[in-house]
Amino acid sequence: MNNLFEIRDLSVLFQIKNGFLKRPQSLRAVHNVSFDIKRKSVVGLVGESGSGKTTTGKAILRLIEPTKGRLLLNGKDIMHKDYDIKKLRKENQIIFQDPLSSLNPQKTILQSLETPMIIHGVGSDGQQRREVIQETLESVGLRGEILNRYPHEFSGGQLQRICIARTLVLKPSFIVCDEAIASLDVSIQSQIINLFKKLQDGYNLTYLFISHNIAVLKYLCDEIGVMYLGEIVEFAPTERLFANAQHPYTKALLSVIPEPNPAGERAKETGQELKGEIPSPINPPPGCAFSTRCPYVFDRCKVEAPQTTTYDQQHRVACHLIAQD
Amino acid sequence: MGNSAAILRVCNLTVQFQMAKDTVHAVNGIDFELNNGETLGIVGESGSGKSVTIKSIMRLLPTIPAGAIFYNDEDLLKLSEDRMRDIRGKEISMIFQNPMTAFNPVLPIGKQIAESIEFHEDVTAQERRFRVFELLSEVGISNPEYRALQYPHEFSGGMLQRAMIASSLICSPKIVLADEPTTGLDVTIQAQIIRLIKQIKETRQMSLIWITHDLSLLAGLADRIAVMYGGRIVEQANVDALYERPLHPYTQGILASIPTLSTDRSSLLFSIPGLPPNPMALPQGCAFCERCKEAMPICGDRVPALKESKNNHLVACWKYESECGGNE
Amino acid sequence: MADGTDGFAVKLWRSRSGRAGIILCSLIVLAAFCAPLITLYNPLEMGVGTRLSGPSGQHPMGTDEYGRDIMTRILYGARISIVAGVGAVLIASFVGVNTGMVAGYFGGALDSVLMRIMDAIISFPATLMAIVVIAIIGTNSLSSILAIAIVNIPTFARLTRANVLSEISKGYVEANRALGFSHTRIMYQEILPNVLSTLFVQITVSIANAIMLESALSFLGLGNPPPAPSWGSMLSTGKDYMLYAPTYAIFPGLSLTVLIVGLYLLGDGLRDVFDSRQSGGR
Repeated sequence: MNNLFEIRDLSVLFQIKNGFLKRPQSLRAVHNVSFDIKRKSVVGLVGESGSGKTTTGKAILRLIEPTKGRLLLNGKDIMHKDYDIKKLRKENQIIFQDPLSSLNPQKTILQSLETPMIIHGVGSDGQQRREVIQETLESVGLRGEILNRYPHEFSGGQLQRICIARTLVLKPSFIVCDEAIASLDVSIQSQIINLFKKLQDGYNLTYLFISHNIAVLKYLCDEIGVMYLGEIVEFAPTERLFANAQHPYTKALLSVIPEPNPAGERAKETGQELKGEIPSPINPPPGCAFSTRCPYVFDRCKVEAPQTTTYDQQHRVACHLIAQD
Repeated sequence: MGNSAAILRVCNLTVQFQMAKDTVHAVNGIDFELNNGETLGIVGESGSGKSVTIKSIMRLLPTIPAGAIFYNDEDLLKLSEDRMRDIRGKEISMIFQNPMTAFNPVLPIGKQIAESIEFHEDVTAQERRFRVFELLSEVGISNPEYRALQYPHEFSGGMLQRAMIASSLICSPKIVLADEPTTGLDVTIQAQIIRLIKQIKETRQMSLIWITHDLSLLAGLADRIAVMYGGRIVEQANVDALYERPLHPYTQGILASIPTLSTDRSSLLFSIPGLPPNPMALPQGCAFCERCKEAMPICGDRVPALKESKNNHLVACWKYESECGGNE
Repeated sequence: MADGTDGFAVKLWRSRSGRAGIILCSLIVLAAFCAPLITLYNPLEMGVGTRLSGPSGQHPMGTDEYGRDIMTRILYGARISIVAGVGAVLIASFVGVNTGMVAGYFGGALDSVLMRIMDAIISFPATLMAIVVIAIIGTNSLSSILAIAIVNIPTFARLTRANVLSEISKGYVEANRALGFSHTRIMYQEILPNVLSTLFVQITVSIANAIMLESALSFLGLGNPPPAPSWGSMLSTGKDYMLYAPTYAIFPGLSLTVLIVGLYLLGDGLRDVFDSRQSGGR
């Protein structure tokens, strides 16, 4: 079975309290999201604020409880009440955007790395654990001298390596990278991107890479899902997406990515930017979520939400325009 | 590019902060000019000193830096606080990075935008209101009479940044300093804001300094770019020259390490090894020396000066020392 | 050493308030528990001197209306104050911190219920609340400790809850959950160490308040019953003799003041130590 994860109709609805007597409002963070993650592949999720990409990443790990949907990991339903959550946590990890706040400031690096191992029984005694920790630190490019220091003594890039090491000591098979490079300096970002690539081979990993930076996703990912207001509007293998994007939102996203090429930037037509603001997930537009900003909108879009159709093998789009063809 | 007379000249600017035990060498003797009507981009990472540089121009730092900053023959660093206040907001204004924290949460937006007019100009309240509404429309905020009465938390990030731009323009300044104005905004909103700023700059014929860590962003924006590293300018050139023929190893490294839509997936990205310098412990020679694969013995000893290598293309690197003639 | 690696005690000593606080409190604690070595009198023994005499060579702080040596009674009374203060705060902090931790961590209905109970307790003035509790459980030496403890629980609960909420907003709690840490481990082994600094400062302030409350209760006749030498009851009786033997009330009052000031200084010193930790790191 080739799929590590099978996600079907995942939805996450948050209830926002509005004071004691008023009815709570619903925030539609994730809406009917379905996709597969193949073993040893890198799947990317791209989107802007309110897209639901981070919530999706956390929901498939059950860090946020899904409101509805089916999550199959290796064919088994992880939403089932008897599922071993602890094992889920050991084998499926997440790396967050801000590495400094992800580490307990009162714990040494050694404690931060060793405690998860103790909890999950990795390594039978202190010495074995140290060995694994040393090996892991080397594979992320750090040295053993750091073990007795505290998080505030390190730079952003080093801290992110430490957080990566913390997940690797548990020997996971799947890692969600939630904007893992966004808060790093530009000259460090490429170091960490390369590290992710190297580790994938060394540790046989599958990644879900969440980012707002579509150029990084193009470099790292095999397949990419484009999200808007909680829904996947387009999902395709990477080359296919960039060569032949179908959804108007994807096309808009691709057209506004700045490239370090002055002549190319000048040649871009002006006036192509999307107008308007991203709608609020508390009050999503009826019909297609993108209808308020779509340059190709017609009447059906404002009333009826589009179904996901298969445009080409493995290339899926949710748009009335495509469904019509 | 407009008139090439320099409207702003920064000479040997040095800014240091005294912490409890250490000194932070934020900016170490930089020189640059802003020409009338141009967009100058200043790019650098954390610790490069770019934000501190801009705040020095506006004299927003707790101490007065060393060096000189000439605006139309007046040295801003020598002016009295009163005279400086006349200039801030009226001749030179600033767009801040995080609009949510730059605005006062308990005052309506319209009132905050009008504050500048209140301070600098003597007009009636009605005239003030009219100008605020006009400007809000100009920056793309629809229904300005209604929106001006709202509070910052009622605006989205993009809208608030537009309001910030409005408040920086209300007194028609000659120079606008933009400190990472689109960092943190969504990509599609960023595109709108960039287009807005470009448009306004043309219509009002202003000069603009745009600070960012994102080199890709400046490619379509700037006329000239200054690259800062470790509190110094390491390269300065026209935008085409910088991207096509970068000279400084740091600039070359950064440009090579950004994944673009044409980067080859099968090989590893180019990456600059090591960490950015610590402004509290700058090395003796060139700040980039320990990360530079072309480092020579002299690099560790002495700081290279910023010199002209070709047509208006300046670089601070010992590699080019023999090519640069002595000048100035 | 001027770097950040000094021990906690050294840092506390170096802070002026901390030093003063340590000295004052240690003096009183020492005096209280070495009382038999300092004074040869028995605090309950009557008629060891002329009644209501002022300070003299034999009785440095004079005698009370039963001829008991006041200094002896003050020294032994210190024990009552300290035990009541520390005991009450130990109970209050144990219950309060756990309540606040659980409320802050789990949130939801549990949080609402627990905090409303805390609100109910804190809405009464402390003295009044203590009186009500004692009225219910009766007057004995333990009841005042219990009453004072109850009155102080909400302070610890609210402080802990606020700190817990603030720590949860930092990423490491979420990271710990993702790593499979159990709730108990996260609450007590990860979050609690980050909250301890404010707790310690609050403990010194609360001990000071507890001691004052105990004195108030004794003053009202609700604390340790006579002939126990509690400072509060000495103040209460002493006030009646202000015209003839003013020192009767003055010395217990002075002792109370010194102890409270010592505790507040200690709290100040602790805050200095923890603040320097926050800004300068360990």
